[in-house]
Amino acid sequence: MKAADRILARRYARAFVAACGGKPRAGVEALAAQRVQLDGVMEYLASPLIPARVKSDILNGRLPASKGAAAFSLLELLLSVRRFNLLDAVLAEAQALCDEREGIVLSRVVSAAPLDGESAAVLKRALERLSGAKVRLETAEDAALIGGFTARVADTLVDASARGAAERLKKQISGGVY
Amino acid sequence: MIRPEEITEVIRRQIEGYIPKADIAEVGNVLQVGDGIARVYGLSNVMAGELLDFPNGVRGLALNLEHDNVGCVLMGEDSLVKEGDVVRRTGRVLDVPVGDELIGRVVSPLGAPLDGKGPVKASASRPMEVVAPGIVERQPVKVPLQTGLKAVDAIIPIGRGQRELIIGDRQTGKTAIALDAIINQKDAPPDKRVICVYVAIGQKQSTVAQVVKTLSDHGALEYTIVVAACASEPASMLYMAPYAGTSMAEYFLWKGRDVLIVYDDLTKHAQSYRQMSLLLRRPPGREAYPGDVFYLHSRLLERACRLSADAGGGSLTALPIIETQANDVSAYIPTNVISITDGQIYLESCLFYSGVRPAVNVGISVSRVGGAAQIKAMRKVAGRLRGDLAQYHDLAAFAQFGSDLDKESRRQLARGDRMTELLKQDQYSPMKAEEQVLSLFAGVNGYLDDVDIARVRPFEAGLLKFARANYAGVLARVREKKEIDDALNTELSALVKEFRAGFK
Repeated sequence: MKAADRILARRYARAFVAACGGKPRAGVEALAAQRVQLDGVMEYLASPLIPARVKSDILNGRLPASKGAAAFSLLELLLSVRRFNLLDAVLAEAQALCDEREGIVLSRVVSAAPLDGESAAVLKRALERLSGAKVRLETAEDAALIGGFTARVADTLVDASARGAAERLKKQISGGVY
Repeated sequence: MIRPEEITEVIRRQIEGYIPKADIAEVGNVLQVGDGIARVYGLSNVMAGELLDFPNGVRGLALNLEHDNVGCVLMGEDSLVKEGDVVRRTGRVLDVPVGDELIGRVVSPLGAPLDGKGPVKASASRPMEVVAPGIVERQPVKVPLQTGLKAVDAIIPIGRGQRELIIGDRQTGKTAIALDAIINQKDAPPDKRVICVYVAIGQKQSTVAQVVKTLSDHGALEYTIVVAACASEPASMLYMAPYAGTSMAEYFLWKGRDVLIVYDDLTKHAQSYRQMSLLLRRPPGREAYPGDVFYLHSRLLERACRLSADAGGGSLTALPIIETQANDVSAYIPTNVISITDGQIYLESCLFYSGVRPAVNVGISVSRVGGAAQIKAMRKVAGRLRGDLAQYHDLAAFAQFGSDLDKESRRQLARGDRMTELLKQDQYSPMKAEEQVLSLFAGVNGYLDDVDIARVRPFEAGLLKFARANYAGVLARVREKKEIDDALNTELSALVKEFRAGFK
């Protein structure tokens, strides 16, 4: 995604969260639910070749009960300004804003092998100590790590993988010689 | 010689002794990359000027700290970096390897060897950007830096710690003057010798190879470091080259040594900074250069200094080079650098093509602080030279309109013609200070007035040969006393008269 698109998405997300009044989380969840209902038509709605009237009909057909809600208004706005391609980014930014307000940070953990419940809980507690905030874990597996895991919390990356250790050893051995 | 088993042994010990620990780093993600510039999302605590680690061994420099992203210049192939890549903070500003090991080497601005002589095992490193020494740490410029060129040492003397600009069009001999100054340091004893750093910015690789060969052929590479960022390299490397070269030079400066640094040339340096700034979307100003292009050069040249005795007494003399277009010194970058430096050596293509080489226009070239550094003997013989040559040029212009000139005017013209001829000098043939003094002594005292112009240079060559063979003691006294008292004046007069009597 281009830097400009990310900046734009954040502006829309900020405005949307403000428009949700005192219940931003409910608004974001409603938007996420509507996004799921739009699976399969996203390409049409984002296409500049489809007339706006047709897109509006598709939106109304898919989400008949959502009219008037802030989430639906956002979708209509994105359609009218031809920014529907930003919907996923706006949703992600809105979720991040809600998390930020509630003191929650998202942590993406990638491990070489699947994490069991106990390991995930231990890791979550450690990451909460590191970040000083409540952590919501998102897990994934990548065998290329060989062993261990990497965890990303905001701008901090904890690399406890075997691959990372090997890379650091390589750097240490070659260090100092230009 | 390193044996393979030694390397293996070292590696085995390091592997056995390695304790794996989790690495915690601050990271960001590449949003977009291209034209040697990357925009990174994240890195919320990054410092301006901080070194960043990109994947595949590419490094970057954080320059623009914006609300939503960080603008970086890449110091390597941007094709090795792609959108979404993780970028790590290093927590340190850019530094370069420094030390005695660099002497005699050709290196990139990051200190990587370019001469095929193996790795540079530098003993230390220094930050690339350093605040220049303050007033308390400095002392006035008062020791001469001999370039070996009569036209420069006599009329535009350079002192150790001075910043003297060499400015002129292409192919006027700018680099030749700088190389002559480097070659001229060869004769000093190794512990007192001026260490030289030649920074090539945006030049063709063939040109740099030629410079290195010239230095090597004249035995000057053994006390010179060549820092090369050639035209094919990213703008970021060209931007860093003079700062890297200065840091390498400052290592010796703070050890109390005298150092000479040549920036060849700052026009291309400014152009590379303009390219980076425009790609980083900084607002363009005059000639599309960014607003801080003056600071770009002032902070670099301010690092030239002569340190006080308490600070070690070292000096860093800077010879920046600027290339003009059609002798236009009123363009943006030339005027900036002229105002920053302590004097300028103007080279003109018309002089160059009329055979005056070095093609120095002595009328408009100046040295604002070097006069104090000139040795007394040189000051005595060359004191009137600038004024005499200025009068000669005025008279020569006037004489073109008529042939009826009085005797005094004809004498001035004859003297001027001969002095102009005497100031000519072959490339890469720097002269010792005492020989320059003898040569100019003969000229300013009228011993050449009745010598045919075409015979002036043979006369000079013969005079020097004669003096070296028969009056080495007189030359030695000029070198040691550094001034011409009445006795020495008489001896020099007798020497020149004796030679002239036998000159055919």
